[in-house]
Amino acid sequence: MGWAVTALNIDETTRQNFDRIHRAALVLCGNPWDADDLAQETFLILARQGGSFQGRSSIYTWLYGILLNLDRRERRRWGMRRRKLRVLWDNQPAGHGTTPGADQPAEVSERKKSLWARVAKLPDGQRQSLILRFSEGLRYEEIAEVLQCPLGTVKSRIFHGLSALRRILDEEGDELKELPEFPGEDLTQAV
Amino acid sequence: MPFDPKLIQPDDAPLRGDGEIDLPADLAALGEQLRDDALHLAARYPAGAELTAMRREPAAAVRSRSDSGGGLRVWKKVAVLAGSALATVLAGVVAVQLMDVPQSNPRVAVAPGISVSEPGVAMPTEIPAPIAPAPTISLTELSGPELEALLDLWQREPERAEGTGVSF
Repeated sequence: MGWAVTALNIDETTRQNFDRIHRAALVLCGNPWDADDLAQETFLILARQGGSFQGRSSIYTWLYGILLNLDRRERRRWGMRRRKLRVLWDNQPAGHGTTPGADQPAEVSERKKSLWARVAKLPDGQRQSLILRFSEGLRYEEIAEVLQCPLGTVKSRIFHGLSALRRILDEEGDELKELPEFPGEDLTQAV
Repeated sequence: MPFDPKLIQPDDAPLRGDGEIDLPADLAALGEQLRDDALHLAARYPAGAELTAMRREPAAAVRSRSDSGGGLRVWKKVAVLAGSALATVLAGVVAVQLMDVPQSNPRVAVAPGISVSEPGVAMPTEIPAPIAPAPTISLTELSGPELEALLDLWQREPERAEGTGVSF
């Protein structure tokens, strides 16, 4: 009987929260395939360890916590893969290789063009705080609960995260300004 | 020398009286844009879109299979049968032609001026023995399993198929 109640709750919880967890996963990893995997793995853990949820927080903040842990694990793995590829690449004789594209994370064009691609360059704490605040619309207290840090730290991370994002955009703007003007595009001289 | 860590705390965010972060206009605008971008991404790639597409395909395949019923399978069998029968007939024709080659070669059998050792003319070293009349299998009398067994046998031992006649 207890098992049936647990199974029913998990089913209902999945139905109610899958979309929001998937959306956060999409912003985190930048492509729908990995987002599907991350979101499904999150609910797989819910199905396996749902019994350990004690109800002291909202179920969705608990799920966000699982998602962020999984994302951290994936990033570690990806970082390790990238380092290995870098070693292989550096050891390859010059002129025998091609550009190593496999160490780049897959990302759909919509995300590449969006601000979230720049957020991906920020440190973990700032990145996660910005996602939970602006993509998921969580309150500061809820973010503090998910990230298990003080409320002041959350606010500080959000503020400094946005400031860092502003700097990244400014630098990108400067780079664009520094590009030499292509003479063929100067249409003012056209007859 | 004792380890004396000096932790550098990040600067606190400027706060308003109600505890909200006091964001300058440009940072507030960035926050808004992040919100919009997240909504746009979620709308473009909704949850389960990949899975739904994957699920839809097999369902359509099953539907089309059930629509056509067993007809498709019957047609497949008939096509395989006709193909193998055609291959058998062709193999028989080729075998008969190969047998006829030595007798019908006028350069060897008729032309008296050509010597046997002339280069470029292949002379058969021995006359092939006449082939025994091939057994004929009536495909209409065979049951399904028998037919499948026959096709398997022909596939495994194609030399047997060459000597076998087929009738419909």
